[in-house]
Amino acid sequence: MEGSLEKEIPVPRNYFDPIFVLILIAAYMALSTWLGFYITSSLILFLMMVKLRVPYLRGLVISILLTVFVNLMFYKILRVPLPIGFFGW
Amino acid sequence: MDFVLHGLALLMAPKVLLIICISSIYGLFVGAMPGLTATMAAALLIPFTFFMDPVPALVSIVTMSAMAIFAGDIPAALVRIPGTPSSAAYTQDSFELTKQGKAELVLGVDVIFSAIGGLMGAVVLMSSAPLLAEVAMKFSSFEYFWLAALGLSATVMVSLGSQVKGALAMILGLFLSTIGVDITLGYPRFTFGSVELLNGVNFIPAMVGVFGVSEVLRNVLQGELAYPITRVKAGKIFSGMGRLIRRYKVNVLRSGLLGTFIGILPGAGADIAAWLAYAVSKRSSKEPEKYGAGSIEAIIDAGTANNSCLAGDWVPALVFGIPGDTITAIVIGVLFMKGLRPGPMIFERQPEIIYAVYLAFILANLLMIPFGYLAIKTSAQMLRVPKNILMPAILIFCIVGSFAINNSVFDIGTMLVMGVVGYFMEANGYPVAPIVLGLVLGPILEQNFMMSMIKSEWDLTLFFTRPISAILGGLTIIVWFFPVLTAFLEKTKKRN
Repeated sequence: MEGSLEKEIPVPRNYFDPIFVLILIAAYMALSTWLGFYITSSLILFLMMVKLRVPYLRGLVISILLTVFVNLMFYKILRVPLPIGFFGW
Repeated sequence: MDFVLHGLALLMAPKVLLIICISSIYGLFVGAMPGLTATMAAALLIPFTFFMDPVPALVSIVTMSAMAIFAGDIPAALVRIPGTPSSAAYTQDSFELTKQGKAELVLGVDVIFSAIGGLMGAVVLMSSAPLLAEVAMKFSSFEYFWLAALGLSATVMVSLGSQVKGALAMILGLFLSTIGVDITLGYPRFTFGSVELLNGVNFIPAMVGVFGVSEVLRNVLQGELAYPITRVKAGKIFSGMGRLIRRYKVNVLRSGLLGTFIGILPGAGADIAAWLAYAVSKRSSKEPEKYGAGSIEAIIDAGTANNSCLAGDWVPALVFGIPGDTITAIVIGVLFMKGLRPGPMIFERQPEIIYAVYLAFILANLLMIPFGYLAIKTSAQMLRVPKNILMPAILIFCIVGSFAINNSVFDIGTMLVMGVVGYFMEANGYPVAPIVLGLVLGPILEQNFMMSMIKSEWDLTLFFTRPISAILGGLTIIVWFFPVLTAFLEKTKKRN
């Protein structure tokens, strides 16, 4: 039933995008202890949005807002330590 | 009565009420987004619940899942894509009715009958769990071994699609649960000298990977879908509901009980409940020709069943520590990490937790009516949230959530690997739910087996000579031979 539903809508497939997502996760692992949470998260969010064709300026603003929001949820409300980098933030 | 009041007091704390409201909105949103499942919502929620007290943690999972299963009906009716797999059974009927201009009726039925189903499930949960807990008090490691084996076997039996693929997925989960230090002998297994693997595969990052990262991968592969969204007049959705309840009261009772029963079966979740209720409904309906072409009866039956199933899923989870579906499997994993061992002892030692879960189910299903109304009213805007912003947001929550549990970058790696595994499994028709059950039940199975063996000095016959153990063992073996049995029965039926 589900299969027949999907077949009717032609879906464009971007085979490189999932690989790009994996590269971003690996990049986060490598960079977060060096650049810290703020820079790494904003950067990764921004790169992924640009890859998914979000306009540059909008992508930048949303990336920063999301980073602040995640920080608020985990660090301020739940008091979970986040990766701290070179610059102390 | 004291415990009820204590449970209610825990639930009515301002902080908990706030968590309930946020979880409701979160559940409604994730449930209504096509491509995001209720299990993914639970996997993303656990890093947060990990840092909460047990009661708010459980309550937030209860409300979130109830809302998500209902909200899955909204896109089914409006854009013909089920929001969660649990709504797939009646997506066709919902959309046909929408095409006939009855979208308001469909959504009204969805919200009202979801709430009724959920309340029925809650009643069954409240009445059966304490009784079963008394039986469970008599259980020893032999019985728990069989319960875990039964849970794993039932998971494979009911997995949609190929049972062989279900079994392979379950075995992968069991294998992952053996990684780390052996629980009885203390010997490291499959760690390849890695210090991080000594504690085993960390449960939360593994779940976030299988259910979160794999969804992100799938969604970015597909690209943006543009679908026309039917607009609804939310003000009209509740008209005529009283008449429908009176007319279909037998259906509601039947499907509510069927759904709860499916829930109590270990391993079978809300999607299976919906498909089964749909099939039963069609068989006993006076107008079976309407099914698939827009039958309101089908939507009532399946919509009641999938929500009542949710509460049923908690029965084996609370009483035996054996999950009823993937969401409760995640819940059990969380409880273990908090040092709470689900099982009959919880009913004696921390009854207020049990009552808080009961009351949360009732409250969540009552709140479903106002919150569901708001969700339907804003459905057009909700369905238009662009995926190219939503997916990066989900990804960052996956990464940060996995990291937060142990403050370790290694866990992000676990999440990454499990995300790729989950993606390829689903792409090739392997169910991923059995992995979770294998991962949660594996240690229970092993620990109880080893305990029994040490107690009885390797006397295997005790697994079949203790009365309850023999019954559970017999049931498990019947489940193993179920595919052979059904084939045999079909053959004899044809011959006669």
